[in-house]
Amino acid sequence: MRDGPKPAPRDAHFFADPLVDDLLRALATLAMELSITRDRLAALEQQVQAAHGKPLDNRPLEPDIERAQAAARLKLVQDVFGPMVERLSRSG
Amino acid sequence: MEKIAFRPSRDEAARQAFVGALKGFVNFAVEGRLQAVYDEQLVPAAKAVPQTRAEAAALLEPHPLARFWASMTYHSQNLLWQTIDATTARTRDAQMALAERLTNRPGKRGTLHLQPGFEPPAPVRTTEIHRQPGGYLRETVPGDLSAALSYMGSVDLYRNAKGMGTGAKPGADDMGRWLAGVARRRAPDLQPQAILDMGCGTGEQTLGYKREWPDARVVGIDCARPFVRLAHALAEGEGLALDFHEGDAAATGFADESFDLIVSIILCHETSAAQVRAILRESWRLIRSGGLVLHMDVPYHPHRMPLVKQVTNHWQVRHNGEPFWTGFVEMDMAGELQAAGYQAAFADYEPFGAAPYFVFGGRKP
Repeated sequence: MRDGPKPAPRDAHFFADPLVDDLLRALATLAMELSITRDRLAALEQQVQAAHGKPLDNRPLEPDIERAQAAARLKLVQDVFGPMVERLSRSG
Repeated sequence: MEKIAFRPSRDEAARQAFVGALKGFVNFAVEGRLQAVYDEQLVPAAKAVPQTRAEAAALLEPHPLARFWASMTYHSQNLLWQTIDATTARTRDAQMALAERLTNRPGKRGTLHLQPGFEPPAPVRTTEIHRQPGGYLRETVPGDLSAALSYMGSVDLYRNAKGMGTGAKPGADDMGRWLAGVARRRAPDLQPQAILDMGCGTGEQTLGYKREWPDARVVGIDCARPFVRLAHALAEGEGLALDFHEGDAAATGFADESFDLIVSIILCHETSAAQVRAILRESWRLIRSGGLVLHMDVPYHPHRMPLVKQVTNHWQVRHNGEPFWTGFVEMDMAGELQAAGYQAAFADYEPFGAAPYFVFGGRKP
């Protein structure tokens, strides 16, 4: 068995105050968890509507729902981070 | 037949899809704004218009939006591995047990050649490429497939988020089959009997070559033992006869002129210039008369990119596990091919989906 390479750092920071980086990371994690909760809810709603009875994980989503989820995912990212991008674009 | 695969649960898949969306936002929306900030604010206010990447970096990198881009690029990479490794940790034992069954069953069709005592070359030995935790080599239990499963789960997500893919899911062989088409266009009369895939990784694309040329002997070589181990199990699960070797693409140990098509996909930008030169020499030694060497890699050459993109790419070199992007694209590949003795050499671009890729090699007379 082999060891891998020496681990690279996981906590580099790019703002003068590292807390800003930590807050961004926390925000990204929260947004991710919100996104998967919404995905799961949409899947559950589909399941209920279909009243199919199969386990949720064995039932693929309809393509139009998958497309709607992808669009909602992108919009969430834009909504969460877009205002910061706008403000930062004007600063400096 | 059961098949080896990266199998996220629905919630894990949703997390990974979110990471893809976040990376896409950072790579396109934020980088687009960075370009606008540079063009509309920073350059007009500068004492002189930057002419070099270093001058542009000095102007751009202190800007708050550039810091935001850097922080989000870095954090999205952390999230990528956090979400991918969760699937790997949950599924590893089942996938290893399946690999054991597939590769030990009666009637197995391919082979796996491991080299006891093999010392993988740097930088794979020394660097966490893409910041993959543990890199490509780490094994914590005998027969460990973790590094390979995580690579398999991440590579298409990473590629798609950079706009360099076609939306493929983990395990797809679309890139290999596309490169087979490039080979056919560049050598229409070539009917390869023996194909070598250098830096074959976890083997998805190697299987694609076998599907394109079912009668050919198809060999994959990679210096990461977990990768070739998984590739072998993947092929057996698909019922395809391929041979996988643990080894160094720059010193394969195969006989002179033993292949008539040699390919690689995004191998050369992951290694040093010295190693790339050795891989070019080895490819030419191994190719038969009439055969084609066809390497494919990233297209980020400075003459094709604005300075802002050069700056963000070089940041990835310094901070985000892409240690050789800049060095690779600064090589004069046409000159390197000539120095390695190539004839009918080429170093140009081919479109894959919406993205161009850099292809280089030659055809031996």
